[in-house]
Amino acid sequence: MGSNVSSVHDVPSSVENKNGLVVEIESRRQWRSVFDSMKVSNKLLVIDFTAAWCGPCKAMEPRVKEIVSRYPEAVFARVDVDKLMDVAGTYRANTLPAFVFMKRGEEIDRVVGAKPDELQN
Amino acid sequence: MAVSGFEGFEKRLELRFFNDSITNNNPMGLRLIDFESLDQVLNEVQCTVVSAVANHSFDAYVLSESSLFVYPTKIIIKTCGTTQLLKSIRPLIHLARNVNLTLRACRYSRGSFIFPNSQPFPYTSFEDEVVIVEESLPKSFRYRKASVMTPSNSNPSRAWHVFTASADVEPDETLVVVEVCMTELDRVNARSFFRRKGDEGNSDSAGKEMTRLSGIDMINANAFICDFAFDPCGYSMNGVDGDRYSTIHVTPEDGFSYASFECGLSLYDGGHGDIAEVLARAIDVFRPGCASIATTYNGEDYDHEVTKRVERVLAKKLGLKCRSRLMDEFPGSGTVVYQSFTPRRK
Repeated sequence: MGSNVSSVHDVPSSVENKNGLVVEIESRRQWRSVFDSMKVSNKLLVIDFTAAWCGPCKAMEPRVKEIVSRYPEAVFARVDVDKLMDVAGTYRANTLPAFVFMKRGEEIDRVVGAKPDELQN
Repeated sequence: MAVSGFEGFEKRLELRFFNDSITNNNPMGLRLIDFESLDQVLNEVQCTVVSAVANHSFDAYVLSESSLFVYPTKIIIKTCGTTQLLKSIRPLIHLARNVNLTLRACRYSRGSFIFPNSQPFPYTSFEDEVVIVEESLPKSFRYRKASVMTPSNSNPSRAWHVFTASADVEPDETLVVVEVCMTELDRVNARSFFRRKGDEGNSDSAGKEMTRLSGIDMINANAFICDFAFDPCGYSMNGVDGDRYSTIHVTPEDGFSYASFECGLSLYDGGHGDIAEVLARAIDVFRPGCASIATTYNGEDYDHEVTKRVERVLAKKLGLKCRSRLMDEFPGSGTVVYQSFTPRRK
């Protein structure tokens, strides 16, 4: 319970790759479980706020996949702002795509917009 | 003036669609067009997306050669260099039809190229451009007008070219669009838009630096700025503030320096900043030797006080004297005012 293994099973194969990990958050319960397990970990959690209608998010997708595979130690949690409105609200994700970097439950940085290079740093 | 160089002056295309299929359950309209399809259209125009953001109101893309904005019932593409902008009309109308949207109005506009001989057909003559636009539009568009607004005294002659076509005589757009074109940029100010030697940073942090250094972030402090710095020089940004867009593109090289500022705004919405103040702040970033402002009133009634206030503020704050003021009416599109400015002689 609380280990990040339990949420891994939801990863759609299209975004899974050998090294990186992208978790598609489908529910608030799943979000809480990912958040709580990352809170007690030293690993970097990157919340990727997106939306089904977001063209700029799609423009960014290939580059995100590239980066995900380059940072095996980070966990990427993809949150659809329409499905999880309160999570989007908590992190003020009004302009998309937005990537919020978390360590131990605290926000340490964020990148807004399709800026592949900035995300790398 | 250089013999040849990068053409900063943009071609601008605006397509507006009927909103009868837009509902509370289905508010997205054109924003539902998948990105891959948009990318393909941009390929034909010869440009690509370098940066992008979206909010609840619209999608904003910074392109290799300017900008693209997608609203539920409106698309604005602005491209510079030698891009083939008009090739996008037919594919965009087609993509819009796929999401149940019908074209209502089209506007094509541009200034005068610094290097007109470097442009490919049909951009060598406005008449040819108009023919191409008309061929791409539905024959049912009854309200059409082409106009070249030429100041009698400017040197070089910088005219403003507009072609509009619409299904209705009443304009549907609520925002006023202001397009500023600036040449002979102040050399010191233009330096901000060159990448620095030994610049370890990437395009996006370099872009942020340019936004900050130049003072562009202060034009509208409320706006989120999506910026991009080109290598070795050049800068583009899209500003996003609720449903309001703004965009700036800079070609800083001496000999053909150019900068544009465009935004959509409401004349009387104090919260977003008075139009004259916004323009003064934007033009002050560049301190150009020459500036023109084309204001399209759309559905808003022409207000002469606004025109005079802009001239007063630019004279007072920037020492820019209005050398010519032209006006024209476009059925289905509204009034366009075209003002040209140069510095008052000391």
